[in-house]
Amino acid sequence: MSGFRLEKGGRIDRSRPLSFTFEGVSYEGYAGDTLGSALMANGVSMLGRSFKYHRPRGLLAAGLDEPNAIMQLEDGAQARPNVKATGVELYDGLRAAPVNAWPSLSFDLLSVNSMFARFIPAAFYYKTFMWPHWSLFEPAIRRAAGLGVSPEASDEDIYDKRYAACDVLVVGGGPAGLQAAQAASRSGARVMLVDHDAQWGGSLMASNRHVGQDPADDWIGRVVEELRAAPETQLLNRTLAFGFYDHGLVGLCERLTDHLPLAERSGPRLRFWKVRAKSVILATGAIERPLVFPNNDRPGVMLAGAGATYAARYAAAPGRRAVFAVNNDSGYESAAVLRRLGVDIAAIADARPGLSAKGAQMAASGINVFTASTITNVRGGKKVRAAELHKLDDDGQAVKGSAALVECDTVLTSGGWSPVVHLYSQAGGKLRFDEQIQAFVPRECGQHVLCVGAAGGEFSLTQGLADAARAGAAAARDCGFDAADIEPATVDGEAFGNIRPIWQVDVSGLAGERGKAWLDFQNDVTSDDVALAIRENFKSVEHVKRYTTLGMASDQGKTSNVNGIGVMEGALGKPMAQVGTTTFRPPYDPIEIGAFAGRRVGENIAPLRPLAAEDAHEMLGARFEDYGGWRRPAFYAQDGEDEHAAVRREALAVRDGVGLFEASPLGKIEVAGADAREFLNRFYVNNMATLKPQRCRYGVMLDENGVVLDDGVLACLGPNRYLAGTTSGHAALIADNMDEWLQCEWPDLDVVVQEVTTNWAVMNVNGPRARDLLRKFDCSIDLAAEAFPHMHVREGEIEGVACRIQRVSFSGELSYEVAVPWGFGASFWAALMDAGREFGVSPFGVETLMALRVEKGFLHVGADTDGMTLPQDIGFGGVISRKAADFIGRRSTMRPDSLRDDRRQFVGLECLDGSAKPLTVGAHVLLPESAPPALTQGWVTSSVYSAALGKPVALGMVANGRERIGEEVKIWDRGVSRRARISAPGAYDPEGKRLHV
Amino acid sequence: MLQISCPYCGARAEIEFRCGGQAHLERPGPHDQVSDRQWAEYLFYRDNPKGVSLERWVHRFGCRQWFNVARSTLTHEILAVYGMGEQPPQLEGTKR
Amino acid sequence: MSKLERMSPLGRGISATAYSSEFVSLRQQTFFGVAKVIVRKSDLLGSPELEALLGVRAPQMANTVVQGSGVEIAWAAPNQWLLLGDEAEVARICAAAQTAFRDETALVLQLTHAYAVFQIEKTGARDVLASLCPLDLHPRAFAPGRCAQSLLGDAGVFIQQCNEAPSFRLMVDQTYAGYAWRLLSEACKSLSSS
Repeated sequence: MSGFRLEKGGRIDRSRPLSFTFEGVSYEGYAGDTLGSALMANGVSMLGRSFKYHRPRGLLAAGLDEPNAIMQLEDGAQARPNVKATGVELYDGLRAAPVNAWPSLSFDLLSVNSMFARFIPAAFYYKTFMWPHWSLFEPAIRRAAGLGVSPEASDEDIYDKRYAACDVLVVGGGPAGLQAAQAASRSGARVMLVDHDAQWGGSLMASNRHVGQDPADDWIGRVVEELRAAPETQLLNRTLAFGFYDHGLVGLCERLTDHLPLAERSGPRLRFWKVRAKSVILATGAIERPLVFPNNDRPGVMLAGAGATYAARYAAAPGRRAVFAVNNDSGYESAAVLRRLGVDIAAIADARPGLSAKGAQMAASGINVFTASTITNVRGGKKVRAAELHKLDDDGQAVKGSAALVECDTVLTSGGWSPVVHLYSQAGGKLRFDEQIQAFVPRECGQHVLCVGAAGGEFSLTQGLADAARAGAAAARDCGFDAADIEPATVDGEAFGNIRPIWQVDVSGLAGERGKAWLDFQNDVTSDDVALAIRENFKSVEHVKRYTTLGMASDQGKTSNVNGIGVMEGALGKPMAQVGTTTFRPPYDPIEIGAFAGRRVGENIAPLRPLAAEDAHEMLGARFEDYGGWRRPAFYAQDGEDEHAAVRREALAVRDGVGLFEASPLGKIEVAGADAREFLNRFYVNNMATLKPQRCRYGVMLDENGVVLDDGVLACLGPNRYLAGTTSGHAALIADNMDEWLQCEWPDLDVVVQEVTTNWAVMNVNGPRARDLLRKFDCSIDLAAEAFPHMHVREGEIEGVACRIQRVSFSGELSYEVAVPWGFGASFWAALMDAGREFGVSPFGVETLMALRVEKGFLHVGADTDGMTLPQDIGFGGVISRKAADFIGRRSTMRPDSLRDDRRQFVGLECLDGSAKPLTVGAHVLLPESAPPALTQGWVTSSVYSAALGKPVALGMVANGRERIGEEVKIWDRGVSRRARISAPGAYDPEGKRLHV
Repeated sequence: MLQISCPYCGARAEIEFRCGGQAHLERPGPHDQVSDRQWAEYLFYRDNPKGVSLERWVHRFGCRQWFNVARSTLTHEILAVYGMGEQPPQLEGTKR
Repeated sequence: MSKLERMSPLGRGISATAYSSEFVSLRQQTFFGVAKVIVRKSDLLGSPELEALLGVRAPQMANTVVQGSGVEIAWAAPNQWLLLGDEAEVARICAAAQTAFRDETALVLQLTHAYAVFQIEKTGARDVLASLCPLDLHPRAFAPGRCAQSLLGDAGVFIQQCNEAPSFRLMVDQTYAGYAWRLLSEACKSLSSS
């Protein structure tokens, strides 16, 4: 336990102590702590076990680059797996647990894996667990290797969403971001400044710097205050810009309540922002790289900058006696911060041969600075006890016999800094390798995006601020604002100097076994794994990534990718610029799926549309189902009836008396104009050119592939005026298609179109008593059989309300579809039920309608047809041959495959075994003598028990079926065969006498 | 998510639009004078350019108007928006 | 008298049809007249008869609304307009326009029953809409007299800014009234709680 709380300083609020638990043990921290800093302050140095080898791990970083400290927070519905301790603001009562240790952190049974480390190289699992199949081993391996546990309770949180537009979006609230936002904001442009941190200031928060003459904090405060006061500037803290998409779209995740104690949370937990920015400035800083040396994953080995951040920002020291290993000047600044705060600096090993100015300063103040030296090993298992240092020769190899063993409880390393170019790269930006800072930096991007400060590879703060001020003003000017350049702030102290790249400390010349050197801490990828991958001929950086899993953990290799590329440089003998980077993909840091789902959960996913008389259906016992996006009664259950009984009862009621069915979802599209007739004739398979006013005609529509797309009744309301009916689920599709054809293909046609489906509620009065029932109403339309025959349409009034009545039938009985303005639909339904009582009216549902139409052999598109059904397959060959004009899809009906004589055709199927049980839909139609498996002749597409006929009836698609009417076939369903005979579709009233009454 | 400039409504989010595929397809006809090959070309064969793609879009949740878009398949940049029936503007890399 | 009664789109299943807080208020506007005029030739809308009927020339500029005598006329698409206002007034103008356009390629359709209409007001209205709709409704991009069609969640919506308060009129297909109400009222509550 080496970490401890400093007695003073830091940006924590010591007047607000907070208690929390880790692995069941209670600790105390302060407001302003992260879970990571609070654990460090409590001396908890081991925070997790590694993914593959279950090695003990502690904090490496202080921000979202942290690979080790992965936590499970809370439980039940509040459980959050796999969060980084460094990104969790401490709150009172927080409960955390490590994710990859069993039964406990200090005694992890699976840590035996680490004893066999030499046997678990890259791709070990895939190579070893191949026979008989990987999937047999996977569950056990996943258990051993997995991360956190998925919450079992359903998520009770609310997730908000916000679209936003702005002129200039500045990502990153550190010095460069603040400066850029200030410059842009002063022009009056719409500016957004976002940072994932709760506090503004970025790297300045953990520094001892001055901006101009003032302490950095004063400058931060002034700028933030100015930005807050600017009316068109919006500041979002606790907001991570996680993805850069096309056309200036940036995804943000704002954490609204995660920092609060559970009991104090209300309202949305996260808010997912989709920001469309005209110009984006990325001030996302840089990530420090660890040095790669044996046992560099021991708890207590940390990034130098992180060590300084913990001490300066959180007043949590990583140890009492630190050894630094650096290859650039930034580590000296970190050492200075820690030293000022009372940490003993035991030694600094600098890989560079000569003393830099910073190094000389440090040495002059009495610190042991070893030049041309580096760290070659760490002593200690669960915590650091000592660091081994060696001299480096000119080739970067550790020199035998030059060892110094320095006792310490923490090792802080700096291998240089990598600009955070993730968002830039996601935006399509290209990178180049900068030799001076030994990192990938932005080069060019097609989108309006600029990286400033460390994100742009500029490690001088003064220069970075000047660039940022210029960029902010320029971005505002690009958006049309008259932005003046502002005087940038200057910052004291520079801290990078030159760098000696040491991608992997070369210990090959030293005696003794030293253990592995880690690149990717979270996925347990070592430098040896990369070397092995290359030996096995995986030479592309993308292949090495996937083979070794380097950079594929939830931290996406923030601390490991550049080091990995550096190791590849050595192994491949090709410069890093040519090795290149892997592709950066969103999200920058994991975002909960809930944020993306937003309010699209529960009944708000694909919301069902209600019928006009929904309440009445409910009262009548309707069992609702989703039919094409509509919530419709399948049937109405009475006295505990099951579906079959209800459908049987309802079907008989329609056949013997009268039934009532709400058909409001039927698609209705008004088509008008001098060329309406011509247009519709091109749209339907049927000849619509001869349709006369007040008449209806059933029609089939195809897509250009000739496939049956929809069917419905076209009504001619008057000269040049039509109402096209579609099936319930297809109204919008057909209306869209009509628009597309008119606008794209036939713009010369004099036609206008408007869908009106939901303006009209439709009640279908169906059955021999239908006319008697409707006559109970005060209606301006003459309903007499001769005045209003089958397949006619009339417009008028019913009970003083506009109505449209079509005499069409999907049941084979006398049937009227009466449309009234939707708002009257519920009342009209009630009036029909009321008036129908004397006729024994029965409401009926979609399943009953289906039973009635199957009895009649009426086709149902999508049930009897599929994506290969052509009109000739469903009996429209004659209609086509009698029509001269072209129509959508016609040419496709003439292809060789369309003209095959063994195509499956729509037929009836009559059961011959005397059973009352309907055939199974989907059952295969086979030749009577065939023994399955046998080539299928087709299948059953619709099947019901017909109450009217007292036997099952079925429809199907059968090869050359129409020619084979009368032939006996075998209906085979998963081992059960039944006898049937092919028939013409339509077992009930085949002559259609009941329609014309 | 793209931002597409509807010729009538101006710049709007992609979710308001629907892409109708390759633009400037010519429907051969009448049906009885079209070879199988011609019909197959019209139905199934599409350009797959690395560069400028000419495609038609509809402002489905806006004014419901169709129009043409010239879009780079490399950068997703929209290089031009023009009306139905209009010829594509001269753009570098446009297939004639 | 008809024995048929009229029901509003939110008549079913939704107990409250208004929400109000310090920041935002939301209510359903019932029985609001809506009609759509579609013509094939745009000069039809400039005809003296129609201009006399509307009291104003229908807007030619996309996504704008003009106040006529009795009804507002909103651009919906090239050669397509929505007539909005008192139901009876809309019906009266519709009937007259139908007569006027009898011999033209045109559709004049009363669609009052096809829409649910909501009014959302106060300072938080823009934030509520921004949680559901991708339009930029910032005063620099949208203002009274402007309208647009877009998405509210997954449903199509017509949005019109009525005044600078601001107040917005939203129209969705009435079969999505419940859905839109749930989304809007939940977003209003989220705004008030955060």
